[in-house]
Amino acid sequence: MTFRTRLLLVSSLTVAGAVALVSGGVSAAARRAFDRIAQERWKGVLDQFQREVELQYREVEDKVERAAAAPAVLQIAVEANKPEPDFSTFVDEARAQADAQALDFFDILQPDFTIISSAAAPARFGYRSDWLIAPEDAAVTTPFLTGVPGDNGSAVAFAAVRVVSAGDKSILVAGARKLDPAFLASLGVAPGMRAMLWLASGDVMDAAGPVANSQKLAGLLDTIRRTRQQVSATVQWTGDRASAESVVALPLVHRGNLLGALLVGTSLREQVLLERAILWTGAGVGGAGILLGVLMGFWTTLRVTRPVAQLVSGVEAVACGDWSTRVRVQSGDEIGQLADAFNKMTEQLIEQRDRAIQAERVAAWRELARRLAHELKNPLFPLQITIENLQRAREQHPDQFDDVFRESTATLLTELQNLKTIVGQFSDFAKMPKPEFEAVDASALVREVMKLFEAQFHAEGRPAIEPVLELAGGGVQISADPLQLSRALRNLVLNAMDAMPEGGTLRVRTEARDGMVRIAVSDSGQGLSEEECARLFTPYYTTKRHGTGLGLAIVQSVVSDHHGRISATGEPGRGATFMIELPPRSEV
Amino acid sequence: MRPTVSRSIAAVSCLLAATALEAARRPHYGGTLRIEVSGAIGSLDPADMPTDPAEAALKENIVREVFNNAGATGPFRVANWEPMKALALEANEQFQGGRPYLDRVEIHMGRSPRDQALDFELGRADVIELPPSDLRRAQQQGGHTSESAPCRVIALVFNGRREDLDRLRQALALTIDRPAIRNVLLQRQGEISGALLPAWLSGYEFLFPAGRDVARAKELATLAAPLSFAWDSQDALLRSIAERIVVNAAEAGLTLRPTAGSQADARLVVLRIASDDAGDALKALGGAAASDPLKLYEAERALIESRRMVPLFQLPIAYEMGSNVHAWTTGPTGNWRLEDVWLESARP
Repeated sequence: MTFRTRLLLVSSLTVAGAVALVSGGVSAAARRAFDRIAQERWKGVLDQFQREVELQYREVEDKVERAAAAPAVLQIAVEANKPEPDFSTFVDEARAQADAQALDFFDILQPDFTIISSAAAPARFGYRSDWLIAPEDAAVTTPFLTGVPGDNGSAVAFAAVRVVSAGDKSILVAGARKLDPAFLASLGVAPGMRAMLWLASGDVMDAAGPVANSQKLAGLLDTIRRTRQQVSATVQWTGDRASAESVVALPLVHRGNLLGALLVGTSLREQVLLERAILWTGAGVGGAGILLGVLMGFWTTLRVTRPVAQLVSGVEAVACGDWSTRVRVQSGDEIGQLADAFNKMTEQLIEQRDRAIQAERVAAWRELARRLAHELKNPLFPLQITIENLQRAREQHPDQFDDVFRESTATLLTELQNLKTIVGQFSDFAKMPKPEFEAVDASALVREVMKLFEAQFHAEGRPAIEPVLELAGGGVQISADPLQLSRALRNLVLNAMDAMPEGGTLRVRTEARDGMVRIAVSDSGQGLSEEECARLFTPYYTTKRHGTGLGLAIVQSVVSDHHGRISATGEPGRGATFMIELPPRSEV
Repeated sequence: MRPTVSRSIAAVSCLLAATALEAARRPHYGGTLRIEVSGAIGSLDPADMPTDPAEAALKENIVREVFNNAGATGPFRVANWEPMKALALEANEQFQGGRPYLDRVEIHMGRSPRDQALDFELGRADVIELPPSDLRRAQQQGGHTSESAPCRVIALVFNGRREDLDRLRQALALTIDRPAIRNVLLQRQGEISGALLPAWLSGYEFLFPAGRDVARAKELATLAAPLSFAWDSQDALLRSIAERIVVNAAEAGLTLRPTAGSQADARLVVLRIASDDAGDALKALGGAAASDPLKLYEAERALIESRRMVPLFQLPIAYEMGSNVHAWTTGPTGNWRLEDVWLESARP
């Protein structure tokens, strides 16, 4: 990953992270605000519920009081004091009183709670009342919340009980008004809220009637059944999260019996919609921020990385050998300082290179002078001796002078020839022409070179050399100058023959492998040490007594001109191998 | 002299007033009798007898008054006929038994008990039907009432193919608190009975058990599935009795589920005793013809078993009349005798 990409990524992530943090923070703050408002509303509804309950209590109390004072009820009380009371004619009286007082439930009871007349269950005369009331309820004058069974399950109702006496014996009247949708509507909850009533029978209603999907409240209701304490939960009515309500449940308990629960639901719709708006806004702002960040980052990184890129280009150019490269950076910051340092460094490198070249040239001239002196000194010494012999023979043995003269001139010519040869080799090395490439079969070329040396391999007076050719079948095509490459191969063969004065095996192998054409010349001669292998291609280095040290340097020069490389391997006493690697024809 | 004349005038006046009063209390001709009934008929054809007991009784009464017996002309003739709504009869001057006292009889049909009571209170009706539950109140308030002998049977009829139906029929019969229903809902009217034919007609009614045994009923109803239960929802008395039966059944652990369908497992129905002859009455109910009391008993028992019935109560038919209506009699099976009725102060 490039520095520019990293910089872009970091700037984009920074923008996105910042937007996400802001969105999350705003959402959390909004949620807390909504929760606080819901809490306040819930308290308001609870207060209103308490007030409405008190109001209902007073109403029910008044109604039951009035019913208890009705003449017909008093007549029943009188009947109760007769020796054999007959309540049969009063069987419909409770219904009449319930209608008159607008009560949902009204029962006229004997002291043992046997029903004399029941408005809601007229057929239950003679049976005991199944309201959730106890003798203690008849003793207290305050109304209470109770459960009243009905045909469609139990109802929760505001109830009051009064004792009606007309003698020694008395009767009870119990009236109640159930908590119904009308009561829930009277709570007047704030917009976005609703009051619901869960009855122990399982019904759930709100001000509009039965609540759909009330099974969603099952978890909350299970908790309230278990704990009988105020609990709250979030209920999602449909698949849409905006349908969720935060529901607080207040249990309604009478004498230890859980009658039901008042449920106050606060719609989370506005909260969810706001959170969605924040989310979408955050996403939009984040997206725009990321885009802007990318653009800004791109612009910024362009400004920042352009000098760096220039530096990189400069370094790469230097690495490729162009030491004259300069980086133009105008800024005065660290990048500018780095560019200046780079420029200074390249200048110093050039200076050092020039100095090194100069030193190498001096060293090379010295080496050349040394080699020339050495090479020229060898023939000069016999020349000097021969000439001194001629002078001595002329002065001391004039009679033998002719013979000495002939011998001496022959020697002089021989040494002069050696001098010419030495000068010629130096001249050849200096005059190495550029190769003229053409398609060449490396195996065929090897075969031709080896043919030149066939006579010498088996020449009389010297140990025989066994040539072994291991040439790649079908030929190996390269682009080469056949004359130069042939010369190089001849040099290698001559070296190999020189390395085998006692005879041996000369093995030449060609092959195409790993995208290169290899020509290996191996001998079984005296071998090379590791140091010799390393220095072998240095000009004027030789391991032979009469060598100029230019043969292998010429070979390396030829191979290099053919875009190849040459290496030497071997061990003392185990022969040596020279390996030429050249590119195949198409790659030249 | 003057006191003597004054006394004489006063005496004559008293005599004339007494004479007029006496004359008003004697049967006399004239007037229109207005009767309101809950049933309604759509035809006056004697051969087309309704299945509803109340309507059948009404039609029998009308047919008897118009056609008398065997096609002979009755005491009244049809003056106006509005099927299912109203019938006006006028006196038949040529009636063999002599002209009836009443000039005209107006029978308004299809009137609900509430409308009948309202019209009676407002003086728009002279004779109305009286539910048994209101008979006691009317009598206590000094009203003029007339009732037949028990001639209607309230019974449970079971239907369906449930294997446990006979067991549950027995359980339900044992769980119903008949005395409570009679004392409270029927206001002590009618008779508790386990038979179809009333005691006054058969004489052996007591042989059919009508007792209560909740413990036994619980045993019989153990693990029983709910029974569907139906009744005529328009009949307030039937409804109250049915609701009480539901409560009684629940006491024995038997659940009755009210339903409106005619295919209910159990139905609370009213059967009519159509004749004052036991054999004819049983035959009319669907039993076998018999004249011997023993055979009649066996036939009735067989009818109850075959029809899976549980007779509960025998009820009379009752009417309330205005104080100006005289000589109204209700026969043992609820039949009228309008030719004897006269109005104290006949309206023009």
